[in-house]
Amino acid sequence: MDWSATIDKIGPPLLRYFCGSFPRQIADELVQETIIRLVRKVETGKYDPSKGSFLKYAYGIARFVKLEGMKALPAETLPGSDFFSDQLPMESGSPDFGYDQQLRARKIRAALLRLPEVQREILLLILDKDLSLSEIAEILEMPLGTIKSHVHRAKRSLQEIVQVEEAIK
Amino acid sequence: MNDWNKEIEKLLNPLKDIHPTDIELQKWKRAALHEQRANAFAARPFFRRSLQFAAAGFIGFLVGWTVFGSGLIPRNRESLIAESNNNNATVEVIFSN
Repeated sequence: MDWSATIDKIGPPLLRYFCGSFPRQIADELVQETIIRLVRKVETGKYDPSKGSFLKYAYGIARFVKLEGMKALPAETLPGSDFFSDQLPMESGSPDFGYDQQLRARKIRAALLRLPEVQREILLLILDKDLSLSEIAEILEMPLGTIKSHVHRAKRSLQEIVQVEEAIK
Repeated sequence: MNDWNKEIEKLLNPLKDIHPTDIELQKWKRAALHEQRANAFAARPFFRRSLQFAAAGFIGFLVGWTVFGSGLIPRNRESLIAESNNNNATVEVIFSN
């Protein structure tokens, strides 16, 4: 497998996925851990293409790494903590990523952090539109109907949070 | 995605501006290459099976030596009541309790 091309493709969405729950520096490390595990599984023949897409498999590993990260990392670095709030500005790799974009990203991320974990998880999985809702349901081991209702509720909550924050400012 | 909602897309759009730096991408690629090399030997089915076979044989030898070669189960010669060592015959050893 051409891992260089694969990482060019899956690296950015995985980074966005982890950035929704962790500070950028930690997200970077978690992407690397996900890639290492992915390479190990594929190279030792544990990935079965008949059981789903490669991307779904990668996100399944990413979710596992994320859950492990939440258990292993100090509480002050986890979502909802002061430390985490301080890390909210997005340090994008692109120099074109301006101040306004950082502010908008920070605002939406702050809103995401107020959502229940499962809703945030679903929104982060559908962020890049690479996965279908059925695949997300398989990754999260939930019925498709439950996923749909979570998406609906998450959308409503997110809109409310953003509107309230804008009204306050 | 059929179920994708434009409103959510609009709400989450700022997050899509997050991109890895070239340094991060290179770091991930190096890690992948390193892991790929580390698993290159074990990844080949022939070597993997050979390795498993050799490991199983070694463990079997160790267990056999521990049980029968180390005297943990000694033969009680005192209870030997009959023994035939005829070269042309099957060796038959009978022990009493």
